[in-house]
Amino acid sequence: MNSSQILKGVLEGCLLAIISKGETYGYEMIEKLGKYGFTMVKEGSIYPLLLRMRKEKLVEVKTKPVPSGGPQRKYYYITEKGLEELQEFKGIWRNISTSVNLLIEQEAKGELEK
Amino acid sequence: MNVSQESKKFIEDLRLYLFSTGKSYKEIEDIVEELEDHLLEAEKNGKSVRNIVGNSPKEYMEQLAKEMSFDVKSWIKYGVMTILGVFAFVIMGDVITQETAYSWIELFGYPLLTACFLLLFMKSMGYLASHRLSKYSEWFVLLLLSIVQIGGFILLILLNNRFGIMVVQFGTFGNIVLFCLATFIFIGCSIWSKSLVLIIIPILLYVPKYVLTYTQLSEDLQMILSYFISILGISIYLFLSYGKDKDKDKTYSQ
Repeated sequence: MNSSQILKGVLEGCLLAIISKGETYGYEMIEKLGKYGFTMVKEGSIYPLLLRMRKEKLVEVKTKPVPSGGPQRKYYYITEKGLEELQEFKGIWRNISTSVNLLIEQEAKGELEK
Repeated sequence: MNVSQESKKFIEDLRLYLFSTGKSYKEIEDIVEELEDHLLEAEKNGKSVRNIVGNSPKEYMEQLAKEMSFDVKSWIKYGVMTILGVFAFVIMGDVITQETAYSWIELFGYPLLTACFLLLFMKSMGYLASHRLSKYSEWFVLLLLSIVQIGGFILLILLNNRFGIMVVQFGTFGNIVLFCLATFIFIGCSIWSKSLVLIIIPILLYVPKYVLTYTQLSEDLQMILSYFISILGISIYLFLSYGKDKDKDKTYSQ
């Protein structure tokens, strides 16, 4: 089984959570994800998601020059709609993760019903 | 500071792929710039393109393309411009050799062929950009493309010789109008594309041809000479402008 299949929907919610903490940009998001152990995320895979989230107006983008000079950089900000989506994601995820954890624990203990 | 050759190639391929799938220029530049920024930071930390896009650039390009909208308006613009451009080239050549009579086959065939080639060309560019091909395979695809193109035009000419009935014929006044029209299209396209290519290439192509018609040389010799001068001129022009682009690249990367 490939982790990218499971990740697909979850990653969007995680990105929303990261962006909701204040302005951030692509590479920084990857670093933050990495800190939480999301090392299985292919770095580029956040960009198609960010494109979609922008289209759905969950996030906004401002382009600013990089502090250290060089090319322009895109900073992401969360919108009202994005915050609502994040709340929804958290609710759904808690339900799913509780159920999945319960199921896996019981399976491990051999208590899973036939 | 600049990204590695491998990243640069990926960025160029991505740009070409998105362009060939009809995405808008602005959206393409937007995502390309963002990825370039990412690659730059990633490489500073010792990561490579493969860490970022995975093993299949094609799959990754498709994922991005799926989230971007098809830009109908500029595609109609490109299509019309290309058809007008081909129209201007064909007509200019005919005006100079004074063969401005056309059949239905030509009148519909040229625009139709051009539109088909444009589509085929975009498809091939998309294919080349999204597959890691060897230099030879790349050349083979391009060769095949040009054979199909030249073949298409030869087929049109043969069909026309066989079945074409001239339906439009232009006199002296008509030729002057056509000449002005073609010139106008060249100038218009140049202004639109902000480049002199469509002024310089026609001059190199048609001025030698025109001047040579005033010489006492045999027709065959005229043709060979005019081709030779045109090809030489265009090669020199392309060589010079390529050099200039390279310089620009250098100053940009500093």
